Amino acid sequence: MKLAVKDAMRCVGCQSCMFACSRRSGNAGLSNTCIGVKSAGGISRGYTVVVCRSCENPPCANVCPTGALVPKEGGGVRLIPSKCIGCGLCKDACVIDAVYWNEEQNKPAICVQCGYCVDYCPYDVLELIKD
Amino acid sequence: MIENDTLSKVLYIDLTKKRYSVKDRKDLFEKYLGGTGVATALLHEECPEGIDAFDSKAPIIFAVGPLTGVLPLASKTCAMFKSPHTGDLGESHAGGRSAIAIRMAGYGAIVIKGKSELPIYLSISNGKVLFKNATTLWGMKDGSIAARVMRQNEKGEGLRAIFRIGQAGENMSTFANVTTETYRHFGRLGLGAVFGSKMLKGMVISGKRMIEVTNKKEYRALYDQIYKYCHFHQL
Repeated sequence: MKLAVKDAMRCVGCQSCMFACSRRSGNAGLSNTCIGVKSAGGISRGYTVVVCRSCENPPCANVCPTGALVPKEGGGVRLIPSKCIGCGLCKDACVIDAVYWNEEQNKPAICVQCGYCVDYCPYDVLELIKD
Repeated sequence: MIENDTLSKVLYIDLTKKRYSVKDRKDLFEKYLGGTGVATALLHEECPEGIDAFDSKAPIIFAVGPLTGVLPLASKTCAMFKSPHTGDLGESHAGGRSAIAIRMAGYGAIVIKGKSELPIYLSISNGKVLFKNATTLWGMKDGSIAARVMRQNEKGEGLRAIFRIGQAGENMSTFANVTTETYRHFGRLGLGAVFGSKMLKGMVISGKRMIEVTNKKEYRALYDQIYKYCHFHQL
């Protein structure tokens, strides 16, 4: 299973996916979101939707000094929070900025490719590709 | 109220002294309903009777409600001020990301008073308010350029709301509006002119916090129920 952006042109920037992602933990707000919707240089120019591409040889895991990010079979990474020291190297290593940061816990927010956000996009911007 | 919620925090900004403070106003948020209720109460407290709309002591109040950031569609910010157009109550609402950004920055309301001697814009994030020099942005013909400069200079990409006025506001045209996120407006009763009278070109605000929910299962079920109803039914 792999999360993908099907058509960013359809995005209206409602942030519904971002709230859905954070709500997976059961709480409201945005602190835990692993998906980002930002304007492509001002809202009149549309939106960029950034999700983890679940790389097969993930740069974020490769730079982790404590082994807190474990590559998964078939791509993507899993976070072991107890090992994470919050150094932020993973965040800097991701060239598409898909490693988000939970500022309250000072640890990365890592997409688990669950597809929960897909169900909350009113405009079918996102999709979950099954292997 | 939700426990540990930052909704009751009110940010007071003084443009004359370039100072700010945060007060916990649980008393207001528990007593009055939503952003409109709290903004009305704050206006009562902060706005002296019979004051001119352009007086430095006249306040600008923004407030959001408890549902913002928690349930779908609760996305409006309520602005209260003395209207320079009618000399009466000024109430104007805008959507976009404004309400979410204020809530996620950790505030339920913002009170802006005083008057700056030079054009400034405010940058609000991580519990701090920065007063930025907006002299170079003042008088630009195209308001979107000022917004672009604020966008490039400030952080909070994808989370922030950018409030700004254009030349009408700077010149204190009594029905000037305040634009947020290019397409959303505090359009009614001249909030832009009040911004202009305070030499306040704009405001960038962002944040990304958690609102802790006690009954997580029930919360998600309620969210889904409202979301599905709004999405699949014609209102």
